[in-house]
Amino acid sequence: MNMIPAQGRLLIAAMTLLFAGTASAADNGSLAKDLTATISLLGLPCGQVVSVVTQGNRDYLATCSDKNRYRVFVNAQGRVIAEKR
Amino acid sequence: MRTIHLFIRSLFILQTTSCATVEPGTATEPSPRTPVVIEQRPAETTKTPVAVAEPSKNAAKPDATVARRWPEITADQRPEPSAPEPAQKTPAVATAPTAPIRVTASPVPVPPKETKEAKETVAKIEPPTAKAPPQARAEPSPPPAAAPEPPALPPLALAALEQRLKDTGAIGLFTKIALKNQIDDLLSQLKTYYNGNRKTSLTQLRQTYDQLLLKVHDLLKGGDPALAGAIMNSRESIWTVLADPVKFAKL
Repeated sequence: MNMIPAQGRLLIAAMTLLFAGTASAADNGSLAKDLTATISLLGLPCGQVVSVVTQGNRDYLATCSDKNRYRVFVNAQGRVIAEKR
Repeated sequence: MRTIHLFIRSLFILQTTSCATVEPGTATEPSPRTPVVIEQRPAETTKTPVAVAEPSKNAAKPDATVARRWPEITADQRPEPSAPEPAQKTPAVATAPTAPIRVTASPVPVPPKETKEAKETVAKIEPPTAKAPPQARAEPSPPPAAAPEPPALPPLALAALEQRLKDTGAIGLFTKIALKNQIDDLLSQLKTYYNGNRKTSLTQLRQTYDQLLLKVHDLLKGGDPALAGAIMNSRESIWTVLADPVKFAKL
């Protein structure tokens, strides 16, 4: 790292943040679709998940298009739970 | 001279008196002494010298009219009594076979040609009707061919199906976990059913099973249609395993 000039470091950091952001966006998109399918499979009204907030490991707060909010997580027994918030 | 003159006067008087007795315009009957000139009609006489005259005029007394008009007809040439008899009833019927006459109004007799034609038409009509029943009978003989069932995919083994469902990228992690949870719930209900607890019937469990497969199909049809079709084709084979307590116990 000391061999890399300062400008190079800045460039590397910027590229990392740039691609990380796009990757997270992609992950969020697929996660939103996954959460949408999970909530519908559980028989709960949601429409489509528009935003996801990570609360922990396999613990998310999903906001649906119909203004419903659910906490979707995996409990200790390995079951997917969707609690309405 | 006087005698001659008187003789001439008497003759003149006799002639005048004979002329006065006859009405003007009427034909005088020829005296038996005067020669009779008969005008023969060449067309009728050549064909049938004994032929009946025009039926409209001789309908009443054919014999008398014949005798009047044809005084020279001898006994040999006279028509047989049977011939004019039908003429009385049906004056239009011709006695001579060579001269056919159309029947204008005769309810009783039927022209032979018309009967033959009617028979022919009836004969023509009958065969089609005779043919129709066999055809009608033949038509329903081929049963309506049922629509050919599409070739069903071979049923997948449960283990292979489970592995494919785990590896598919059409559904996310949370969806896979949620599906696994519902399959485990169905299996536990079946286990409870086979253990003797009959709160839920096998029919209800079958409905739950069908609903679950429909959900899986809806999730996979967009991202992995091959797996979705394979699962639907294996639906019955999978249920046969689940519905058999012996096979179910081996799962």
